[in-house]
Amino acid sequence: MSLNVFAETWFFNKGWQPHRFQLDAWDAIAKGKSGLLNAPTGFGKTFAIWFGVLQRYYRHERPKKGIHCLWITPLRALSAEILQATRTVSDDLELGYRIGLRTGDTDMAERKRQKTAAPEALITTPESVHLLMASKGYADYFSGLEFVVIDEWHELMGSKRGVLVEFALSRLRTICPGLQVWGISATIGNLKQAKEILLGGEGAGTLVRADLKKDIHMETLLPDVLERFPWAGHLGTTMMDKVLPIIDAHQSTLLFTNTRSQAEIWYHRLLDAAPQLAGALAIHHGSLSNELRLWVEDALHRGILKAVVCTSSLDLGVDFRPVDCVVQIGSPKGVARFVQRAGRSGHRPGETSKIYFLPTHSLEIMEGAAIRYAVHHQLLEQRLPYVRSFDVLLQYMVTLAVSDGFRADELYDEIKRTHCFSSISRDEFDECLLMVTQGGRTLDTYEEFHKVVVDNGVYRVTSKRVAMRHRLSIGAIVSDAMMRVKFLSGKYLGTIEEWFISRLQPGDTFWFSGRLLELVRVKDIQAIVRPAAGKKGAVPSWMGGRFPISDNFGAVLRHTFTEIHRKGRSLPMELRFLQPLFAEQRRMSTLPGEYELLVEYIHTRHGYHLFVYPFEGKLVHEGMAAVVAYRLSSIRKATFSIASNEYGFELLCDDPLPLDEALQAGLFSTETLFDDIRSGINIREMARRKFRDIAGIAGLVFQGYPGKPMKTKHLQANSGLFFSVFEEYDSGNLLLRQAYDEVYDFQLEASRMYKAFERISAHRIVVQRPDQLTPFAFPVFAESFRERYSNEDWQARLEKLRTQLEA
Amino acid sequence: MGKTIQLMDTRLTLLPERALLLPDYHTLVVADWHLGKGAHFRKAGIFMPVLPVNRDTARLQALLNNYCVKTVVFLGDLFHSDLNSEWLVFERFRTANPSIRFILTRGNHDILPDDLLEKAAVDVVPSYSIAPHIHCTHHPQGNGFAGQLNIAGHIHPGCLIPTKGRQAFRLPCFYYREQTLLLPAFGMLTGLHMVQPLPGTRIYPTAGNKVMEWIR
Repeated sequence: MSLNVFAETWFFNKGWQPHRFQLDAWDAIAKGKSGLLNAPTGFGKTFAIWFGVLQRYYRHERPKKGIHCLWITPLRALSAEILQATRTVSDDLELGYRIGLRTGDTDMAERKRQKTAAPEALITTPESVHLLMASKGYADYFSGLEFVVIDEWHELMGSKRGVLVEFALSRLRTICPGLQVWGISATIGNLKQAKEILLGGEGAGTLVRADLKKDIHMETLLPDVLERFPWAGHLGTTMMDKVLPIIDAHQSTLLFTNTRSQAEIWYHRLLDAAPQLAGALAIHHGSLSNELRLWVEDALHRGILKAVVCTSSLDLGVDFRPVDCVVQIGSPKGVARFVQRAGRSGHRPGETSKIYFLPTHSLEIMEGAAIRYAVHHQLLEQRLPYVRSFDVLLQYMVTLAVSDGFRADELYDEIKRTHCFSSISRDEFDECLLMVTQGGRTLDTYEEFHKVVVDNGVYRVTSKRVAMRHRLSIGAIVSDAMMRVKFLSGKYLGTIEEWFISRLQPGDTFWFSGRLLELVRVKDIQAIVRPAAGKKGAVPSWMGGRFPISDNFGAVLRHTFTEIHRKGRSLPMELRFLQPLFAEQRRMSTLPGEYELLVEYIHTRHGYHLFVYPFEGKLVHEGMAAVVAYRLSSIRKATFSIASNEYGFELLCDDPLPLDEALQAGLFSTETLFDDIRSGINIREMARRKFRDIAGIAGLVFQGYPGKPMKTKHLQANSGLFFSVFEEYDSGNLLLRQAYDEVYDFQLEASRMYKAFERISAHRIVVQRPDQLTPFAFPVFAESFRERYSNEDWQARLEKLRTQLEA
Repeated sequence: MGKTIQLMDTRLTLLPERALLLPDYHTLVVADWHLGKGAHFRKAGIFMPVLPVNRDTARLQALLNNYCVKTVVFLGDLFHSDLNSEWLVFERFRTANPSIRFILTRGNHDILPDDLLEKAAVDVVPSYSIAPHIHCTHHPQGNGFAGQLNIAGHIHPGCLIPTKGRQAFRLPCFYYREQTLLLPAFGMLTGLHMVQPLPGTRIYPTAGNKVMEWIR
């Protein structure tokens, strides 16, 4: 094992002992290897890589000038922490190795300095790396590069930002052939694949694992009386009195909610219930201004906050030492997410993480038992990487064309080596070229299209305006049209989706940033507000706030559910507590056994409901529901409204359903399943939604920087309009096809759905016809977000509408 | 098949082709065509398929053929932005209808030079009064014409009609509120701005070949 003098000196001075995994990483890096480091936060994973980087740099007598290491993180907050840690090392050891920070916040003067006198290391984000590649002479700038470190790779990999990373690496490997690439990842179900995607191919690179297990203490908060606990809901504020003593008993508590609106509600309800918390309670979510978020993070560090209500905005990033307790409000939705959140407390080695699960409705209490089982058995989710993301490819092509241009064959070879585009055909690639040069395949009046021009085989952007607009829209995160919320004095509070504000009239009040605000007026993209008195206001909801339960968690939940028939002490306490609810379900309908599928058919004033409970998780249910809807409606034409949650789904129709006939014909059979998926599911509507992001990334919808709006005279159009236009006039378009592929892979998970149907087809189907909604049915019915399925033709539906309107 | 309503003692026929006919004045009103939008986007380097804009022209031509129209009022945003090839489509249409008077109440997107519009024999005015009590403008004027009717565009009104079984329809509509009648956008490349069914408003959604009234 080779020595790392920098690490040894520094650790010795600190009086610390390096962990085994740190020694392993230093050794592998010294040997010139690339790899993936898998370690929990709080154990010095940054140093495990950093001292390797330093050692490699100083192995040369006279190291080269210019950028030596790129450190890519998904979060700005994390960048600041890495900057501090690495600068401390350089200062302590009096090294001339300088570290710079470059994110969306970096000012122009600093960017200039980084260009003219480049630091040795640059801590940055995937978007900023692409921005650097969009500036002239980037190949020279990176010519001395030896290291790229991808921090929190598991986070990036499951999003299109991971594709940005893949592209950046493919380019940098060409510029710097000896490049060492290291990823840092938390534990996920497909760690090996994560390594291969990053390092380019099977068996490439070293996997360094830290065998450090973090103890998690987990407890489900139960209501005093089950009978008075709601059957449906997602707020959980009825459990407020259980949370206050927990906040009291700990130094600093993080309360995680699943949506930003839920965070707003909890924040002001907590203050109502415990006014003494004023000043010691804060709120933190992604729509709030940077200034406010930084203040909260700083206050957490200093230990002056008793509690913070937050969303996934605090999932990642900096360690807050004083935090010794976490409360998860509502379904944890995923095992890895839950473990991550738990880990925000008791951060230091040897300490136990403490997390309370607060259910928001009766059936959700079960999830406490399920999550404990999953954590215990380390059933962590896989992160599915994106493949064939043509939107990102188009963006990347223009990025390269904006700076020094590219040659088609070279670029094709390069991207073909990425995981994302390993399957791209030359035809598809050429079609992308046509998109950026001519606007598409059609040979009509494209002389008007000027984006990328071919000059001697080099693809370039020549228009300054196109270049500028492109630089402003680099990135793979697409947000809704946002309004900036400001006080009359000009103080900036944060951003809210435009559609929320558009529903308000001046004088209306709403909760934001933990305060009650009154809308004074709307000016361009600013909502001017003033503080309002009183207690009542609307709570904005953010579209980005919803995420479905993971596949693993779905399976665990189903497993837990099979236990409810067991008797006795071995039953998890959550299930014991829920016995009265199960008894009620049994009385009104049936409590399905392990090899039974319960179907409830109920007639209410809303119409005819069909409830089915496969316990497969929301994503699969959405697809199953659509297939079942299709099969029912091929017996008799009908229109359904569809709702689903983690346990089951509901089809609601205004006419009676031919249920018996459908069951006889094999309502749940796997026969012709794939045909039925294709012809039956309202994939179009799903694709339309996916197209929103695609249009933003591919540059169809220009938004400018979040918070830095740019005038886009006469170029405003929403993605829905583009989708309709493509569907009607260019139906073979690559981006359109991508929207459908994403629906199949990520939303329907067609293969998982097949397995679910297969499993069910072996089950006994129990049909019940209760008089009213059952404990199982109610939470599904109460889901506010609904799909629509119809095979009635437009005219027939219009007739129905007309009779309803004009009756 | 249109729906004829009576406002301020005036007969108004709301047409499912997303235009308004005032039969007593032989006048057809068309709002927010946004011709040239597709080409404008393409010129800016945004992928946009070439649209059969002549379908819009054909729709308008059919209306001129079927009804007795002497004047066509474009309520602004006739042409989306700077000059591009789609203007030729309009010029051809203009030439085919020499005896009809064309009036444009200028909208925020109408930045074509005056001489082009003049050449196409389109009278450009800030507002146009069909009768002493009926005023056409691009932007709705609010209380600008107290006690009189304001016909306006700009908004692209659409409505979301909830129906049984928790479903909803998204449809372009005519929208009447406080003596202002808003017209749906005429062009194929236009989006919808959802209007609210407030008390005192009347909403007439267009769908297929019908115009209906949404009675809440």
